[in-house]
Amino acid sequence: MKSTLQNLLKAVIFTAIFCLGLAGLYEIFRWKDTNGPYVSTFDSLYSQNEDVADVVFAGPSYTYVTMNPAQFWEEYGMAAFNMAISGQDKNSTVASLREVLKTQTPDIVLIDASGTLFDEHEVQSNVYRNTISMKLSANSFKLINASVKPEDRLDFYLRWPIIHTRYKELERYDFIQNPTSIYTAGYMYEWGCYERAASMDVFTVTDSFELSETNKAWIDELVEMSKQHDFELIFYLTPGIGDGDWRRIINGVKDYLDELGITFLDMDKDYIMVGVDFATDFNDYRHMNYFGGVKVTKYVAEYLKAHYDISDHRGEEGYELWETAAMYRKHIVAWNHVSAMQDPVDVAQSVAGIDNLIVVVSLEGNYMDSECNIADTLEAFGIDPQAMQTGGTWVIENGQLTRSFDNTDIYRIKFNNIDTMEISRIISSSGYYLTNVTMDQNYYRNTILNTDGMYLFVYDKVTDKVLCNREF
Amino acid sequence: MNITEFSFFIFVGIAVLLYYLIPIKARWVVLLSANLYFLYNSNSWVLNGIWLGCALVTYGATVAIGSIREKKPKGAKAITVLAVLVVLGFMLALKDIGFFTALLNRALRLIGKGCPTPVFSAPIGISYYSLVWIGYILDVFWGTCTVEKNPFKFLAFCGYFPTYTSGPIAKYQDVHDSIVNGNKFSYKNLTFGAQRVVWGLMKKLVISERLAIVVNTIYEDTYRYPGVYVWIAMICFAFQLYTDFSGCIDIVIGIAEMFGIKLPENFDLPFMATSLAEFWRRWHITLGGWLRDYILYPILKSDLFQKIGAKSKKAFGKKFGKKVPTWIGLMISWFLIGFWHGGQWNYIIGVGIFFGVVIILSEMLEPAFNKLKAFLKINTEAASYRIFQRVRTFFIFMTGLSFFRSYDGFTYGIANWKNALTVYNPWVLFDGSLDKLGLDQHDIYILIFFGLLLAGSGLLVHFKKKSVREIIAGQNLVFRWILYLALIYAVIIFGCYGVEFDSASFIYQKF
Repeated sequence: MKSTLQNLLKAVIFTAIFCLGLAGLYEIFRWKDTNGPYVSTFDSLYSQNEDVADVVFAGPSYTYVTMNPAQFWEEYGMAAFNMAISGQDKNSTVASLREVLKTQTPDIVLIDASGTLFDEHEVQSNVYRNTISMKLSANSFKLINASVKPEDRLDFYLRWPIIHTRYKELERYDFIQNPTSIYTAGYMYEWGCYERAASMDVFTVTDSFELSETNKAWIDELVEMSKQHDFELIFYLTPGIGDGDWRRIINGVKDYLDELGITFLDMDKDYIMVGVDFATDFNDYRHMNYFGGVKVTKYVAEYLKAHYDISDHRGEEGYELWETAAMYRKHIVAWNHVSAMQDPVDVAQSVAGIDNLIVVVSLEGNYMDSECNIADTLEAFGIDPQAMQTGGTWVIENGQLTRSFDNTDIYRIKFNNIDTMEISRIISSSGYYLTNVTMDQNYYRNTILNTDGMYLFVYDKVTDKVLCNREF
Repeated sequence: MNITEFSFFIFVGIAVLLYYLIPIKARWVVLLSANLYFLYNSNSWVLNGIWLGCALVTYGATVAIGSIREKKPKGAKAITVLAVLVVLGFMLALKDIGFFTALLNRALRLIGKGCPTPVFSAPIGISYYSLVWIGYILDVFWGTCTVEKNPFKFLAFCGYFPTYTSGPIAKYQDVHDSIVNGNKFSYKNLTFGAQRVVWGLMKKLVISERLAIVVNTIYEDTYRYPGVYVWIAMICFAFQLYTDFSGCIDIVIGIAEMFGIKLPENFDLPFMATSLAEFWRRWHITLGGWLRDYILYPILKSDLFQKIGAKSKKAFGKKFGKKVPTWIGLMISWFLIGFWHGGQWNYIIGVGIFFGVVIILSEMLEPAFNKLKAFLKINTEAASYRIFQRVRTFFIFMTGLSFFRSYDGFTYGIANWKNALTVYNPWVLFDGSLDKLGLDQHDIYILIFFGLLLAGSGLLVHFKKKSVREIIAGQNLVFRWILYLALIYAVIIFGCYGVEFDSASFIYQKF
């Protein structure tokens, strides 16, 4: 009897250790992509404080490239959360919203009406993004039942049959949380530029398709949810979506929403009011870029501000996510802005007010021959312009000059467990000074060697991006 | 229901739990219920009807044979023949109707006629349980085993579900008592059984399925992948078949062990064999044993073969002549082994006649080989010679399998060999061409690691004469648990299963 009990205890302990180990491994292997590599809206949602989001968006990629929570916060003080996922279909929209409503009590929920344009996921990876990025719950099981063929459902419930092959692609952010995934609050920054023309269909196609049963049921379900959870339901469509028959479907959606008395912000049709420039505001044919997103966010925010009483939470406790998102936005915009600059003085002035930057300025060899304004550049970085007479290397961290080399020296900066930077000024074999910056970032070694000229290196710790890395 | 599916393991887990929760005398009821549930989930109603019909015929016949065997031996013999014909007939009809129709059509073509080929599906495990049942009928007739008179207990034995995927072909005497009398709970049985299941899953899901990718890529297009590629495919297929089949058997035996039932082993380190005859005593042991006990020995004891023996001794001399009936019997057995795999010539030749011919030839030429070895002063006790023998045995086995794998027919196998021998392209081993066979660097590292693990465990068993599980059980708990957990996690992570793979079936499942 004693031995049976001992064996039973051993079996229980072994099973418990096995389960704990498996749970630990699951954290590494789990699906972490809803909007792109290591960017998961669910991760962002699950790291939120409870009951903080006043406005929630849900929809597919058209939504995550337009509705920017950082901008809502920075410019209007609105705590908006973007629950968009690639290819989010009708079932996923409902399930994602249910997931949001577990922890949040938004006043307004805005749904991307483009969900009415497709009934099935076009690519398998979007099925994974929508179903298995969500935490295990009755809600996720319900979504799997609605989205996956019966013979494949067990694989989705268990998840390991799908995620175990990820051992081939494990990266740093499988082991630690990608901060960007949290910072962006569901928004995706896209910087490409796709020049296209506006579709005249939004004006010329005035007839409509009768709403399909699935679309009607979807809208009805969302209306029911809005009553149950007491939020204002709004539908919207982002610019550049509805050509041809899609426009007819959208017209049908509008007709039905009008019948129900639900607001529909058709920015596809009202793109002129939004201020969309089709030559500059798109990343591809239907997805807007950051600049288009700024306009759409502004349009929606102004509409909400004009029609609803949404509190300004800036400065309040519990809204750190939005503060961080706004900070991240500032950095990522600076990165996009600065990386294209040609004048070092512009670079210096642009990064002056930004925290968490590491700047290395180096003057070696015949830098005096440089056509750029070295003295102004040094001054803009807070370095004595007289230093240009002797040359050298300077390190500025968070706007403060932390190190200057007028002779040989080595300075090491450790960002985290794996990322380090080493700045050194040494004498080459030919007797000249040279500056060497070696950066081990994300396992990749980036070495910059300045032997002749003015060199500027700017690294942003927030975005983990190099803003400037060039000789002037 | 497939034995690598998660649902199957849930089913087994529940069955094991129920088995030990109820009184020992009634435990066979759990096995009977599990058998019926497994069959219900694996076959259509019609196929289950056929299965039940054959089982009842076997049951009725054995009860009748047992009761009249002493008093009316002729009647018992008639019932035996009839019952065997019924079981065998259904097996041949459902499995091999295509083969027989093709033969018939060849004959009919001579008179300008033909008939359509009927298409039947066979119940799961028909090749395995048919042999078990036939063996049981014959054993009852010969009086070498008792008769199970309780029809439900008979169904618990004859439908024992774990063996339905790929065997082993267990004899009534070996497992009946253990199945129907129930077994006491044993922590060791449970844990050792579970360990063997995980080991089997590792062989199947981690190794075999990866090798299958290479084998399928090459065999599907040998004109694109000639020469060295074909050699690679042939070698990989031999290991694929071993890890697939023995992996399945490990799972089956492991599950049985969890119920306290000891099934016969089907493999005994076959690649350590130094001759083909020894190889086949180590590979698919239960099929070879069944043919030996129920086909070869009865044939050799028959009056006809006694006469053949007497005549051949006169014709070829005592030493050589006495072997002739054995060789004829062996050829019949090897033909049946090939035919058992399926009514296709690639099976009949690839894993039947070819091996029979090689074994008989090696026996015939043994005196000549011995003289040659003596003349060349070859030290047959040297380790290098044993390695040579093992490589040679593997090569012969691989050669037979190259026809076995040619599902499209025997001519395809010949074409493959032509491709392997006539195209000279050794550079593909070095220029990165092998990376395009469907496996990436990760897969290759995994294959190498787990291949070495498998080989290492085999060598450990070979030299220590002790099971790896016993050796590990003698280690400290922390070390043991780390090993067990590592293996389980390795199967979960590196196994080829889930939506991106089609690893559900075992090669020997279809036979």
